[in-house]
Amino acid sequence: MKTPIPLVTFELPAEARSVGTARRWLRAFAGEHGGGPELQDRVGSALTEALSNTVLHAYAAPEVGRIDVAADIEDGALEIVVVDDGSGLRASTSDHRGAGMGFGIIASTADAFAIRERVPQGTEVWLRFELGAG
Amino acid sequence: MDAPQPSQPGVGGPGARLPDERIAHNETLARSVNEAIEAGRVTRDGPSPFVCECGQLGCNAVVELTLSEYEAVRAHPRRFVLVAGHEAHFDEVVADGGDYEVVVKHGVAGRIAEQSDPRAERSS
Repeated sequence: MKTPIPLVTFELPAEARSVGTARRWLRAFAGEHGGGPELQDRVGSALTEALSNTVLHAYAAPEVGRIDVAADIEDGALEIVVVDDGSGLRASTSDHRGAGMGFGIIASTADAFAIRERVPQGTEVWLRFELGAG
Repeated sequence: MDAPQPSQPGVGGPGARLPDERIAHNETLARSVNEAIEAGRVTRDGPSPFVCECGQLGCNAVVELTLSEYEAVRAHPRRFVLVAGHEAHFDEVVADGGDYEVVVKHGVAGRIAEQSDPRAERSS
């Protein structure tokens, strides 16, 4: 019999308090499956950026959209997907706190990442953290 | 909010004076983000959003290029795409796209850009 893959999924409203909630849950999930404090910190940093992007930029006020999050443990790594059905990246050359969205922090904290456009709309951010790396 | 003025030596955002190596590191991170954005595009026609590849702290600006325009930048490991006016002192502007410009990096930043080029890693 195959061992089930550890998996957690949840849906949250795209609002500020959801960032801390998701971060707390997924840090705990990482810790339960062998992720040490350094890895948990990196998970927290990357998630904060990915989720903040969605909260701040994916949906036009007053709409409160949703964020779907899934995480599992596969091949010795924690993989997380953050999905929204918002408007995606938008050009903004003047708003320096705006649309570029902290992806650089994600790039520097996750062991691998991907940013995928969704059809008909939305963005999917995929993160991978090697559990043996801290 | 006015754009920071990045055309000063050691620019790193308002009040910050980062070493060239740090700016170059930030720029290569932005390049890796854009490579991920391009790889994840479903729509191949029309303009696509890419993050500004300047090394300024806190720059989250987004510019739009077609994928062929973006590929033309990536064809050279020392070329980066920036919001117009975000160039650093070691950048030479080689193309003006209106809201964006393409620069080629010289000096230590150019060497770091070349050594960390993800396409060179993939093709080696």
